[in-house]
Amino acid sequence: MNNYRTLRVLDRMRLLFERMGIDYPVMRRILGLKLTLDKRRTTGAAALFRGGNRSSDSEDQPSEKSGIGRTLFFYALYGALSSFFLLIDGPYMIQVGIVLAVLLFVMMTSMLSDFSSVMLDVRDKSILHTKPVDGRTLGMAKALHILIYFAQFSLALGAVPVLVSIVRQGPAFAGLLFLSLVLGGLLVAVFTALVYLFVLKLFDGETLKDMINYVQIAMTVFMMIGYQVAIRAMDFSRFADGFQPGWWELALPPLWYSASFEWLLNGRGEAVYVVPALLGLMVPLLGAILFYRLMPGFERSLEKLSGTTSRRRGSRIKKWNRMLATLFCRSKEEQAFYVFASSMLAGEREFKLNVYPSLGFSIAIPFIFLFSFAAGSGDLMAVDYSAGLGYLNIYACAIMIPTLVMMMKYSGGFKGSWIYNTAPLTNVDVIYRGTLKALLVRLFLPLFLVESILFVLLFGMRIVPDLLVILAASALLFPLTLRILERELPFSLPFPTSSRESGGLKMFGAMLLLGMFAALHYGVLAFLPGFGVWLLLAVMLAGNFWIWHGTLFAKG
Amino acid sequence: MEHEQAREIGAASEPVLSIRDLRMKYGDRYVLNGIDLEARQGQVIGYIGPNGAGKSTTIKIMLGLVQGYTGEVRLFGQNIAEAGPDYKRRIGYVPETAEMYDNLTAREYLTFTGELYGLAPDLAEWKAGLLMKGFELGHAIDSRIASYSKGMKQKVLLSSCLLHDPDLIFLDEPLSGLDANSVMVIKELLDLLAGQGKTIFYSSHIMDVVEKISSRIVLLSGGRVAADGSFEELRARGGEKSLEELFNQLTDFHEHRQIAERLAAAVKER
Repeated sequence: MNNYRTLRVLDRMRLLFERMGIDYPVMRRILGLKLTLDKRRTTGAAALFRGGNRSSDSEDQPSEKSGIGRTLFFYALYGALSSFFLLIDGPYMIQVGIVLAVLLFVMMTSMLSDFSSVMLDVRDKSILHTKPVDGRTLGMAKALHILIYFAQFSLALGAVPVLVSIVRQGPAFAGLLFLSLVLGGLLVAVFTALVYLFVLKLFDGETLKDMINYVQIAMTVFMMIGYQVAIRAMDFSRFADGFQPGWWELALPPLWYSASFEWLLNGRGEAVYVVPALLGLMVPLLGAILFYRLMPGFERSLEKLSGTTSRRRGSRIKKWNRMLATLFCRSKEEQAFYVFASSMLAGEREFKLNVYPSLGFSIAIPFIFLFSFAAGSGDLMAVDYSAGLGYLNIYACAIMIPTLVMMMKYSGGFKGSWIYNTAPLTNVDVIYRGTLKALLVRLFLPLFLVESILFVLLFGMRIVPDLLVILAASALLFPLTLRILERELPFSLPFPTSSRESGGLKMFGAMLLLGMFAALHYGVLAFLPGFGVWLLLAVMLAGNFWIWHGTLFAKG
Repeated sequence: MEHEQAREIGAASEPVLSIRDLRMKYGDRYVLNGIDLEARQGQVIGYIGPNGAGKSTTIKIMLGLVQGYTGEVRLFGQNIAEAGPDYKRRIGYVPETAEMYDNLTAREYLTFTGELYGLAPDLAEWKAGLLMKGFELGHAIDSRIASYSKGMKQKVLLSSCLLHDPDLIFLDEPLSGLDANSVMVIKELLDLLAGQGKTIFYSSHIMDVVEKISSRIVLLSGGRVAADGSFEELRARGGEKSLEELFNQLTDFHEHRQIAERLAAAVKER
């Protein structure tokens, strides 16, 4: 825990720290602890690729491999991807602007997600502030920790682009790029910190936690969809010539830095380049000074993160949901579980982090399929909207269902599941049925409706019967997936710490089932045009009735 | 007095709870070595014993959380091994650890648990509001339980235990985290509930409280009932002054001084 390379580098500056009146061994000890904690924490980007999550309360041995190292690796990968933009020709303003826009965006989102745990660590208060360590040492430890974290992270992100530019644009360019990344990163860090400060001043800790949660979700969705879209849109040649910047771009920080490239490397001294370049230098530095001044206030408002806050959830939504419960669930107990599961789905941040990205992805994937299959050209116009079967791609929307059903057994508050056993429940099936219905109605149905409306706009009203079939097939998939996967009571297990628990083969079975439904649908349309759809709808509805209420569901 | 009346009625009627020769084995080790116990309406039973004596296991068996015991457990006249889960409708339970689905608000959690015990949603929610207000937590009912202090969580658990007006109440360390004023409220509340004819099983390590609120004390040691009776009866038998001393005597524990001396010596070690 005390032998990190960073710490050994710091050891050489020991005298300097001691001259500043800092208790060096203590500070080193605190930093060592923090770095170890960082190693064992997985967040944001890396979590996505583990197909898992960032649960920290596992009882297993902490695996040092899955922590920050892995996260940094993926940031290096983003850096590498973004450096492709350095290979396209064009004015620096555009070329550098795009690279920096991508890198700063990644920095921004990850700041808001990963970095927050470093900055908003409230445990410091009770653990460190109660020990006889002086404030200056603690302050320096925190500042250094943030600095180390930030440096690792910018280095990972910037390494490949800087190397690429040395080869392609020369060392002067590379040096300027490096400087831009450092200043841009500082800008992002200061901006993030000021956003936290602002939110904590105006709102409460819960709002901030929710915000961080949504940023994490947005980032994951952005990356999942971004990969798909970026591959298809790598044509920037139209920006190649005749670009003239306007004053509006003063609002876009990446362009501040690309303007400095034009000014310093191409010798263009017009105000439209010089002013943004100077902004890029001054704003982060002034921001840092401002933040340093506001820091004590920030520490004070951190208290809010552990405090009680009263926030009302809309009572109208509650009434509406209760109505849906009575509509979809027969028994009282089932209704209770439906409402319970709905609030759990709405309230659990970790569940959202694990599930919402795949929801966002399911919205996009039918379109991605649709365009990919469109005569290979990726041209929207190539799809036969008036008579074709391209709308069957909407089946892809249902790939979220196995994930939903698999995730429903996890909860951060899983220890609360004793309530299932102490309650006088005659039939555990109501637990599953109510929860599955909540998943179907609260998460799947709204997205499917949105998707259906978009597809009806594209393909016309003729596909409505097919959409009903697809809805019925999806509804069928919920209980069927539960039968394939092992049945655990909902919200009764901790979130897994590794992907090996994600039930790979069984999940694949559920996906295969979805494929079979789609194939059946396709077959019926091909061989029984006209009335075939209605026949299939009748079969699907009967299947739903049988599976949801019949004995098949009762025994797992 | 009304309470006395209820206790008299209780004494005359069927036992609410009756356990005969209850044994339970985890692996090779018996945690319960033949427990016999009866409880009637209106009794507040202080259920005490050292760690690992089998208190929680007995309670969990009665709640149907633990299977695989031998002997007979009858609640409300029914053998729970044969009865369906319906008997649980009349039981309230506060577990030792305050574990709840804490990303729900208290309103959501309490409405849900009330519904599980067969209350209509509106009634459950209304009673949740009443109880939370009664505990002076009306302002926090729409906040996530995760943001509550330990004492507040304990009050939510107590509310969820009482919401469905149970006849038999199991409380495992129900006062943990509560401030002195709340402790007084709960003590009074238990007395009033017993007066309504409810049977309360109260398990705790805080002997002063047990001594004060219990109409009867059952001491468990090594999986057996080591003592059973009112505090006065126990004291007459053991000749000790406080329940704490009785506890030490009955569980055969006399080394507290030596252990404390060892620890104090370790502190001075350098």
